[in-house]
Amino acid sequence: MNININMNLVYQLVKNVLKIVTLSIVSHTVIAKTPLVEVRIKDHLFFPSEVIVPADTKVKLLVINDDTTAEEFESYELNREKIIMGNRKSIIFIGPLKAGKYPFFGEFYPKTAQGVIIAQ
Amino acid sequence: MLLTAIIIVLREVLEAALLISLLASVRRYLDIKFIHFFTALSLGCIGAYVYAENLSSISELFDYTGQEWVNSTMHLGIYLFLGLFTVFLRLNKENMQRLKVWMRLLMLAPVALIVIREGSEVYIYINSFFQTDRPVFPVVVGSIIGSSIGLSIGVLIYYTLLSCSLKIRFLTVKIALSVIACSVLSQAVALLLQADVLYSYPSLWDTSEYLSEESVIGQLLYAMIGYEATPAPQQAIAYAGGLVLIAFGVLLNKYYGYKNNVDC
Repeated sequence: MNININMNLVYQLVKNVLKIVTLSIVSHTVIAKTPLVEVRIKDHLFFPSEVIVPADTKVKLLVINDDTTAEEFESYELNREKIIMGNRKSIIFIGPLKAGKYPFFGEFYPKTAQGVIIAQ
Repeated sequence: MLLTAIIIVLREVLEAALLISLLASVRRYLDIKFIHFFTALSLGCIGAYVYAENLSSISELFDYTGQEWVNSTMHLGIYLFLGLFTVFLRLNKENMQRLKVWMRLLMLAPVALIVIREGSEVYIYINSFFQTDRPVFPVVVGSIIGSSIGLSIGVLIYYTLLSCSLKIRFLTVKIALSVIACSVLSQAVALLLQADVLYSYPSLWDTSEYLSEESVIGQLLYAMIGYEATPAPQQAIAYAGGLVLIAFGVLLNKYYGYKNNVDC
């Protein structure tokens, strides 16, 4: 009886691990289909400051920093935080997001670098 | 700019100061001198400088997710070192003397890693002002104030712990280190989600209406226990799983301690 329970546990464990691995692989193979949205940083401002993305879809955010200084893209609502060095670009994956507004800001220049992602 | 500098530097310094004060409070018991901490801090500062100076090229690795890979590896390293340190930390002088060299490594490696992680951000932030015509003075003053507040809190925690009995101090340090280790592990998972290494699911809950991460208490709780208003399911699993793993290790070590007649 005990052996059966243990075997079942092992099966569930293997199944879940495979599921996680498969989902991770799937998430890589569909990169080409992941919508790409571009955001630029210029004079410590985000362009556009309102970024519209599809709801319930994973999005690849391309952040291009046109300033010579570094900026940290940060959003409490999105759980994202990444330094974008001056005159460089970077990728941040966000979502899938429920329909709604998700503010983000530049941590180094928070007074000016403000934006919002609108999932709809 | 002054206030922004204070907040940014305080946030980074506080996380490091909290960890260092906890570890330093049990250092005498493990025969670890301040010079060892100074060495770890110095190595951390050198590492932070090297990392920050090379962040542009590191960020472009692995399809622009290099930063997430390096940071999550550092976070994972901190979890492992702190987890093992908590498991092997015991109120038994003889036992600790035997493990002295390993305990030193487990205590000082996370110190160096956290200084690399937090120090590199502070360096990039301050250094970026020296590259522009903007006034540097408020940033420098803000950074000094921010780091002074962070260090003062660290010193306060250190002396408060020293005033406690050894038993209470060890228990507090063990619990606090376990929580910090799991918070760091949860951050490692968040970075892997950000890099699309792990599949993203909607957040498990949303407590931002009750306690926002932007609030002072929210930020303090983030630094202390890794509070997140909207955690991903994998982050919660990593946090809880990390705690269970450390607790299991502590119990296992205690069991073998009793078996070999060693006090815990």
